[in-house]
Amino acid sequence: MNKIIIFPYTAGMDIPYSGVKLIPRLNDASLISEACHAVKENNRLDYIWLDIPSTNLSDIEFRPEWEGTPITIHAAGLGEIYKTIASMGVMSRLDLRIFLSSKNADYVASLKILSSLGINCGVLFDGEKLDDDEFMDLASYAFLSPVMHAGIEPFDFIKRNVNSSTNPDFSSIYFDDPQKYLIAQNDLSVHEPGEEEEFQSRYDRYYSHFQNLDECSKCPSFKICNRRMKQYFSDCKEVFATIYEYVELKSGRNMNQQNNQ
Amino acid sequence: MANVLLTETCVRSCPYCFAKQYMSDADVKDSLSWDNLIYIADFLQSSNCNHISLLGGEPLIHPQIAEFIQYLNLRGFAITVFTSGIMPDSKFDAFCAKILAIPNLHLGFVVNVNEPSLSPKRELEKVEKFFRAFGSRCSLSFNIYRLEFNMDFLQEYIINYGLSRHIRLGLAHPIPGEKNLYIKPKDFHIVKDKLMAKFEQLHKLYIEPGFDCGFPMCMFSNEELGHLFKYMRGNISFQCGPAIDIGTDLSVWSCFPLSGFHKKSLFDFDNYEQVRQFYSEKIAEVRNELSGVYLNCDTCRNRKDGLCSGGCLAHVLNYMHEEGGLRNE
Repeated sequence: MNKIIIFPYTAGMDIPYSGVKLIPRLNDASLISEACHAVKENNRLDYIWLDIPSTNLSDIEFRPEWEGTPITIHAAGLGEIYKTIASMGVMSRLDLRIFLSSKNADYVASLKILSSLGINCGVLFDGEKLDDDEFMDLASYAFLSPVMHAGIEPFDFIKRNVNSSTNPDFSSIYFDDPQKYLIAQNDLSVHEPGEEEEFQSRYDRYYSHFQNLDECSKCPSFKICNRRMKQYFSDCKEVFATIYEYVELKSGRNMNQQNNQ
Repeated sequence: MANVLLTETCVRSCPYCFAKQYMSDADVKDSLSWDNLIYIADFLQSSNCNHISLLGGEPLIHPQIAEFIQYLNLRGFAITVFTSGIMPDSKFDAFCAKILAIPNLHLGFVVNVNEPSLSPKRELEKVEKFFRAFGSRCSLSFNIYRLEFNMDFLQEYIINYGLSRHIRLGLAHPIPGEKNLYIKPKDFHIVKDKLMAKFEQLHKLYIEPGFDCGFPMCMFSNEELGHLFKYMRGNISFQCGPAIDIGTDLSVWSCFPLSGFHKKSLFDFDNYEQVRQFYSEKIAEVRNELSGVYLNCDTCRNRKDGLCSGGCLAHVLNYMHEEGGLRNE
């Protein structure tokens, strides 16, 4: 099996997989070390996924022994900023990627704080509509800040992967890419689709809007969004057109001109 | 070094306050946001400026003052906070605990004090509490706005609370068009006589005075200049240049007395040097018409040699007040 299995990890559990790459999904930071050891006994660790969207970073005790373990955190917000910044000494030595909920009114400033202090981070799109201007402000910072800072997703993915010839989907940074990840059921069973089923699934995801001639099929920024973002913005077309401009500005070339050659 | 306003509300009402014009125009609720702080930090660091001053209004009343200091320190800034040392009792202990717990802290406080005989008792108690907590990180600042000033209390503060043995001295300047208290240039010699007597005393106590901008060199005789060189350990300057103040809304101006003079936005500039260059040129335009606080400044050798700027531009603009409106954009 080439895909990475995401499964819910609980304390003391026997992991039923062998020889595969795993992402244990936790809701308790104190299980990180245990989960890491448990996975590495018979499998390979891709990421630890600490999925705590109602918990703030200031409530997490970051531990030096997590060094070397890639950890993705989905959290609510910074919480007590002083406490979170005081943890930066430990956090900066860890392999962290922290996603903060866009439901948090301060998510933009919080991500700028993390990024400017060298912590890879990103927006967690968890079901609510975002303010278009705030999101574009964050994009502007991610792409155009004059000083070095850590990456902010999904902008960092877009910056690295979008070009004139590819059409990448940033869903993988949220572990939401069926081509790459398999989600285990509660009983830890996994269903790997066959080739035909997989092809049909991809076909439906990508081509349905072209067949339906919806707004997305006509959007020049489709190659960035892939119709993932429509639900989150009042004018997603303008938001992603702006982001596309930033990408072109950053890459220093006009990707449309390349297409026309 | 850029001066960044954290708040536009002050806890005192000093009769000489040269920030009065700016404060009166500002919304009392305005305070610097995290977004704007990060923008300013990026702007300064991309311009290779690693020293930042935080002021106001009163910066200590900003609800995130400890977090701002912690953040800027982690980003590698050396931080100076210009303050009255007065903050609400309810917040003081938490502030102290947070600041004293920050590792590798590059922070100093410049505490602007007024004569105790002219200050409410409650204010004095708060200032002294601040000194007890942060004494070694504090240096004093004193603005001279009346001829009957008395500086004895400054050395008492330094000795009693273990403060830094340096005093920043400023001359209160006029706010063009306003009626704050300030020292008129014709009276500078009276101030000078009192200062020289005091400096002799301070020198024996190993306390070093320093001048803020706005003192004209001709206030002092050559002999007095020689003494000043000794008292100030060679750190003496009579030049005036843009200090660069950045408001809570990212507006920018040359310095507080000139807060209404060609106010711009930080977004109008690409880097800090551009800001300094812009205001240096604006200041030069005014001085080309009227060099300094005295008529003699036009022909002064010290000014022509670049040793003295001719006193504070606020006096010059005050003279030209009726024309001043034409000079502002």
